[in-house]
Amino acid sequence: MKKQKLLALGLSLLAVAMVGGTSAFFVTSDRAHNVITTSGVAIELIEDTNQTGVDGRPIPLTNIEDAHPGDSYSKIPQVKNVDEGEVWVRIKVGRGAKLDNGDEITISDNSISANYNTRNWLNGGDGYYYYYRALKAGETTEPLFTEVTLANELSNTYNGATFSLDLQAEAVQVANNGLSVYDAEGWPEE
Amino acid sequence: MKKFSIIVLLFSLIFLFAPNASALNSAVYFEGGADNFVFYPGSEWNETDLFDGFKSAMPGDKLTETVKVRNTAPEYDYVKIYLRAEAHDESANPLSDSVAETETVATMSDFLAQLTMRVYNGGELVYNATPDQTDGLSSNVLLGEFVEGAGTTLTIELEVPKTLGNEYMHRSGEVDWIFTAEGYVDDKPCNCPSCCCQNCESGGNTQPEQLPDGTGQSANSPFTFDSVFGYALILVLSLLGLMASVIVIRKLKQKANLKNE
Repeated sequence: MKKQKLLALGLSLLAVAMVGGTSAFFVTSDRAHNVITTSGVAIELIEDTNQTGVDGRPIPLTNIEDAHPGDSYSKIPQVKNVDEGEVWVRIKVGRGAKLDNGDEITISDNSISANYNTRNWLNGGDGYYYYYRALKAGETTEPLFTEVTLANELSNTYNGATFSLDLQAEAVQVANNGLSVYDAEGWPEE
Repeated sequence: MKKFSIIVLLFSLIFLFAPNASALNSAVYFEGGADNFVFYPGSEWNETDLFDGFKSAMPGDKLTETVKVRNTAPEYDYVKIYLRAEAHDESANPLSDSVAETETVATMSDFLAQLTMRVYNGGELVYNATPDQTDGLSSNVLLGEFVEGAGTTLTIELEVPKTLGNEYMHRSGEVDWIFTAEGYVDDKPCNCPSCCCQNCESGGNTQPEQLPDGTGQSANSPFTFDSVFGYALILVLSLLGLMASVIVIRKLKQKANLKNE
């Protein structure tokens, strides 16, 4: 009789434990692969002229050779946004000359003038021209200028010289970066 | 202050356009049956991707993503749903192929370490760290107990520092989350939301929105180590209790015999 009581007690304990532990009868898991990505900034500097080659494409102009004082040349610099985010844009224009004796010198702004598009490009007074609005993905700016002209007063030092206009275009993100191009921070360090 | 910026001298390389991030809601449905979990909406990176709003981030961004978690399985009285995160390594949990095309575990971890992420289950903060860490999601966190149609909402906040430099342009990082469901059929009273449906919304009668058409991915893993271990522990404790009962009764019996003698 006591053995039977003992057995009944043990089975009761086991039953209570098992009932408490089997209510969750199905367990399953699955995995989500969540991905975080960043965007970027990329631009293309276009330096075409109003002249086209045999293939119909505009001919770029970088160097001015066999030039004479007062000569004018077509040069149409523009910047294209080739990434996915909006950008602020600015361009720095440098002028140089390679003399007949091989020396390379920097020349004054007056030596080669340009018909700047001041309606769309703002002279920052720091050597840069700033595009007046944010440039969306795929957009291209208005030209910074369309023509450059050698000064009439060039000295004989420049006889046989090759002149160059060195353009440096820079872009910085618009997102979280000011309400205008002048407010923007984070321009590339020179 | 660093931001994404670029200098172009003469002609630069042309980069491919990437699609803009859309604004779809993310959701996890526990459907039970053969489908188990279904993740929505997925992305071009992975069909189980829940971070739809965390694409093409820029320095200074503060982004928020909400993920609805719903029990839509009709065969259970209620379901407990858990969440944990799992860090990546080269062998046990390698990167997805899409991420591995441009990242290694080391470079990706470095990228994710620049960011800050917070995860709220309803209003409760369950994670606050850089996404390369598992933090409060190192082990299973109970999101709630849900009757059919009920669930909770995870709110994920991502902060990208303004100081993020150009070396982090066009980067990608993968954050693995493992959802676990325990289905229950028992007599436990369930008067949502006061009892078993912790965190559930709309009184536990929330019906799921349009289900994805096969966009999710499921994998059966009916018993986890934790659950098997739990059953074994209960069995062992029961046996120990039985043995203890036998010993106590025998000693009482011996004492009674000694008194009688």
